[in-house]
Amino acid sequence: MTGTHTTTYTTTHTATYLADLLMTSFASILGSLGIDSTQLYTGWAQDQSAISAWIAEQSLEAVLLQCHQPSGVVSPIFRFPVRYTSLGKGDEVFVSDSTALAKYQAKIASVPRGTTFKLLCTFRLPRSEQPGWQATTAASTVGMTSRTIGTLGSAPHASVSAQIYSR
Amino acid sequence: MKRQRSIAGTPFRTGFESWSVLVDLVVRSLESSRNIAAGSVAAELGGMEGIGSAMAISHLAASRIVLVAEPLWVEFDVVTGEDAFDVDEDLSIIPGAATAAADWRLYLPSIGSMDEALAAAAESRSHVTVDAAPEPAVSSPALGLDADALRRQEGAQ
Repeated sequence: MTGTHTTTYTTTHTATYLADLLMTSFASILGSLGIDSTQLYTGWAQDQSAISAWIAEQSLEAVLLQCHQPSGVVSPIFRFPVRYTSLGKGDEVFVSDSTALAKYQAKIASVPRGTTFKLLCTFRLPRSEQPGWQATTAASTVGMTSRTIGTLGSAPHASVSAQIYSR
Repeated sequence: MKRQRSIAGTPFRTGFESWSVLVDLVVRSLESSRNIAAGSVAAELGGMEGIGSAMAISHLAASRIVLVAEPLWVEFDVVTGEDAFDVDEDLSIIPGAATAAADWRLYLPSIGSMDEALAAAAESRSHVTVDAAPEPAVSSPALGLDADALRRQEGAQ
């Protein structure tokens, strides 16, 4: 007699996976740029929870990682759009691919000492309130060069990719 | 004796939760030792939740955290993706922990561009290190019950 075991993957699983993927991408980018990431690690659980909640409710359009230089220039800006369709890879349901980001990080220009970062989110639908997050305005990308880095990861109900804007 | 423990990671649970489960297992195991002060391990590992979460999400499937506390030598990994749902976790106090040495060490693997943050976390702690873990000691042959093997056998029946 044989038996099969199947798992039903929920939107919570998708949201958890992609939010976790985003958080480690932020940490990896900040590490590559030499930007102090203390604030990211300190607020990790709260930020992951908020991003996960917004993915689960499908309100999140994109997450922005803005690099604020001491001169006032905001560059580079990393944009992580969320698509609410899966881009499954063969039999794999949860896919992460850091290759494109790692390849880009190897070529990324350094930022001046003292550069800080901000995380922002943009929305496609009304969103739930989440602790620690307030309404704000994103820096303009007008006049910046944009480049698509690629898909970072995919789960049953959504996928995340990455773009970069730089001066 | 060399032991291995797998923790279910994302998306079964968040990376933050996975790290918490791993730390809790280390804390309960080590603090069961008569040689280690109650509360000391929790205090040592507290404050590493962020960097620990990052490790648990993206690096502990291929790399390992190693706990050395003679006679213990334990390797931890975190399983992610679909495989996370099939992990047979053993979160009971690790056998042998009751006599674990006071000079225990938790060896953390390299995590690429986050290594600087990891090194900073280790530097401020006396029992956490980013050095390469030593190989487990080869024990002399003896007759003894291998609880891990027995559990695996019972699970397969």
